[in-house]
Amino acid sequence: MIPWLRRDPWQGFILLLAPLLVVGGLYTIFASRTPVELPVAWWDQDHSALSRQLGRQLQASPAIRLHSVTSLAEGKAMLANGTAYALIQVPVGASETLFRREPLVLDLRYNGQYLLLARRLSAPLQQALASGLSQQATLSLNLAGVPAAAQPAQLAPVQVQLTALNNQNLDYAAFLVPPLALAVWQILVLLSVLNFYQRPPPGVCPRRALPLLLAWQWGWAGIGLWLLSPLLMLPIGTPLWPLWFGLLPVMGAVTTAALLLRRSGREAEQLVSVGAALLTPAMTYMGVTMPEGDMPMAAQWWGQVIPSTHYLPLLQSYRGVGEANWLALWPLMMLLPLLVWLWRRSA
Amino acid sequence: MNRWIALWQLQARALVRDTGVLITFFGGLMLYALVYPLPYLHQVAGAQPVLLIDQDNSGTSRELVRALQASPGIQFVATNTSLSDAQQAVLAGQSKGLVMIPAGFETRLRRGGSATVVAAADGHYFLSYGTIAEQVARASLSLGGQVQLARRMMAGADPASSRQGGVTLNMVPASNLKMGYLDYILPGLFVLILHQIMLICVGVTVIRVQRRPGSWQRMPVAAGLSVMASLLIPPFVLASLLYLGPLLAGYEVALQGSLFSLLSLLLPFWLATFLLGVVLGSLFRHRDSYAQLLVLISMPLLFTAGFVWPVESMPTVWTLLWGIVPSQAMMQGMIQLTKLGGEDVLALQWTLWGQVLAWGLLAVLLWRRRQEKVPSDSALPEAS
Repeated sequence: MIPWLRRDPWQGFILLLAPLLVVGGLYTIFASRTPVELPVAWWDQDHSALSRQLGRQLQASPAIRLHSVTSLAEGKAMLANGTAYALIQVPVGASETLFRREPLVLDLRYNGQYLLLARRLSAPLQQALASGLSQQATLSLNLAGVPAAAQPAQLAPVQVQLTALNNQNLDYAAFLVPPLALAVWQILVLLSVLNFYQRPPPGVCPRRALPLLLAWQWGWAGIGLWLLSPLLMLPIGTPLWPLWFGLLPVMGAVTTAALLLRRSGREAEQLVSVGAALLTPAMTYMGVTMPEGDMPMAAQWWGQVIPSTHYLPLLQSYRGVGEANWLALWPLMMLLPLLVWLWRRSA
Repeated sequence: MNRWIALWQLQARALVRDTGVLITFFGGLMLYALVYPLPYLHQVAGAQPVLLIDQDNSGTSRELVRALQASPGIQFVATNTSLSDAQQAVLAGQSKGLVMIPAGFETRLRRGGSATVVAAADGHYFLSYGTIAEQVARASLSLGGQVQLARRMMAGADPASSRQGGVTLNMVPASNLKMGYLDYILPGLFVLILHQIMLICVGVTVIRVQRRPGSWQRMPVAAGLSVMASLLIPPFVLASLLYLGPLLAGYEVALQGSLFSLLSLLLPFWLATFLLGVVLGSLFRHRDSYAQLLVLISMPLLFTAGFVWPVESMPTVWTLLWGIVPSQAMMQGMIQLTKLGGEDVLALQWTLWGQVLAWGLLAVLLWRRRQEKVPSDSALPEAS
């Protein structure tokens, strides 16, 4: 095996290092789990105790790092250059307006182009401002003679208790890395099978050795599941092995695709191009970023062609309740006869 | 000059016969332009399947339910399930969220107290979670406003003065006004697609040329590289103009910024990407291995470009890519110019021109090395 991999160092890289390097690399991007200290431009024209109080409330939020600006142009430039994700303006006389019990408008502009970050910032910004302003409102109620015990009910009669089920901390790494790892693994399976037939080990019949290669990749899947188990957040006492076995039909389907491509007789790089075109958009079709039900029908159909799309809902269900309807993988299992036929005919 | 033209003609003939490059260029550009935007054509997440548990069954709870049903982000798919069943359904992914209105909701409000609406959503799907959270918060805020108004009126206040002292948070997006997914992802993604396909086409062509002896070895390095550039850059100029012009417009991604600023970034981007392709192609022996490398680095490049995940939360080592890989600076520039309306892209231009210089020097060195390394044998057939 070693002489073979020395002769084909790229296949050695795909089999030995790529899973760790690519998935590990992707994990390091999201290792901070939740974005913190996102720059927000703060344009305080009021310079009052109230505006400073609001500034302190915002600064106290771990998601926000305030950058004071002295003009609208400066704040606008920060938004346009992407150096700030939001701009908050406290207008001249804001505090005075409130004391006079007149309506006050606080302008907040955020960079919708950074969609996820805008959503991430939206809640802490609103919470921090609401918290700062509620102190003023409490003062106002005190002056009106409302008892302290009755004040919360006066300020917000209907309250919302919002809970995240699954991924309770809304952890980005737990949200993105497991589906990304699945997408990367199926690409690596495809590439390793293509390479294996393109430059097989000397003196070995590729057909006979293919199961060993697949066993190796399946082994990587097991290691990956084990390493990612902190991110999978399975219910206590739930074993990993059903997830591991569930990956077998996925691997079978990807191998079928690789053998079909190989059978087309095209040049190696053309096979890679076509295989990549099929599998690289896998993440977008899994329904993680955009819910599957909100995709156009054509996208839902195309998604069915990608093996990982069938596996992901089961993975998410297993992460949530520790069980999944594995029979839902039947479309992938239907490919088994074709896989066996292609394998027997592969040289 | 005659030798240059002869080499150009030779390489042009070889290029149009190179099905690997042609399939990647035409097939890749056409397919990716359709396949990547397709799931996001609806731009925003629509009505999410939500379970309703109304334990109050009062007029006020029904009013809240009607407000929730009228919102675009929530569709009640089942009612009156038990809390544990609903929770289990959300955990198992059968439903994206649940809303529970506890018993005594209306009574608490009528007594002058506060009442709580319980909402839960699946944290495995951030877009669904955000949509449900936003809609429940809005409906509750609206109901809360009505309750406050009713209380003030019952206390004898004038309805006209009921807004006294209120603060309105005017929170609106400054860019991507519809908060659409296509507007968010497409400008950067299209740049990355162009970058990756250009790298593949340049790299595999360089591998094809360099693995066989031929007249490219007898030409000065500048002449050899200029022949390759004149053949490989123009198709991507056209592809870029198509992708970043009519195609983006076709997906209704609104563009801002001046064309001049965009071209001032695109010019060094094409050159730097071409030269990086020459460098990488010179390091590989097999065309398929090289193409595989580019497939594998696509995802890290996308996620480190700064618009999916903030640079502030990224390990420093990833930000180094911004200085090395042309796509990263170009993606940022594209977003600034087309979406944010920014024109201050000087730093990005310098970064890209710096890459042209650095990758250019390395490309010359490696090209020369390959010229010397590959045995010069005029008896062998020319690369085709």
